[in-house]
Amino acid sequence: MNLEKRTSSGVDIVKFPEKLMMANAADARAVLKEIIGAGSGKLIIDLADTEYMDSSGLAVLVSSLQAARKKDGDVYLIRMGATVRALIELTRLHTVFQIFDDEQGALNALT
Amino acid sequence: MNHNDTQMRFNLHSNPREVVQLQQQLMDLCKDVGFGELSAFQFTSAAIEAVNNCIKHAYAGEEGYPITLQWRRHQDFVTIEIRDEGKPLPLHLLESPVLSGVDAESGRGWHIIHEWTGSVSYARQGDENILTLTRRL
Repeated sequence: MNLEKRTSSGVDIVKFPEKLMMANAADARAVLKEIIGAGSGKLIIDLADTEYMDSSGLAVLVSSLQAARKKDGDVYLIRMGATVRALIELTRLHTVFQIFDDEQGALNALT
Repeated sequence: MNHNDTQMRFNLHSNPREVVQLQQQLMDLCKDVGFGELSAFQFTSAAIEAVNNCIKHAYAGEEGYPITLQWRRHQDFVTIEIRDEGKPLPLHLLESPVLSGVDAESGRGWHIIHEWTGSVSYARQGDENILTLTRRL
């Protein structure tokens, strides 16, 4: 799986796919683990294109957060749509992730 | 897939790649019958979590086993009936779900099913598990 990734001010910024489901969750998890392992541990996940996520996708988010925090980093979520936000809130993940409307706000908070 | 005015049947295998297409079809069906974007997402999510459970738990992740999903529109509600031939569903899962831990990696599927479905019922008939999800239009 290819996830669009770039780095700004030492923060890795990854764009999630349109769908993150059981079918591609393991691949996404592996890619994110590699990115976090090679980087600063500070990660922004851009959900602007993500229209659908299931509980396997949520597990990918959580595993990324755990990996980042082991490096004293963090994972911030940006630009999520209303449906994904509803899923995040239902599962109370908004209490463990910092969520921003735009990339600059997340970058300011992480750097 | 068989189609008439009020119902549609999907014959799947326990393969996560097949669930990707199913998700889009369910979203489209839900919106077609009048669910708003968020309600369609919620009911579709509940059904997808149920199908994922068939694959992960009833069939222990083994691919190629049958799963049937029957989508029915009634006058003012929709039912989604999901059948598999795997291991029986542990009945405690039908009770009110509790998130296992906010930052746990797993344990959210049943929470989603219960919270985003009007009612959930389960029956074991012969070798089949039958899970029925209902949501009002």
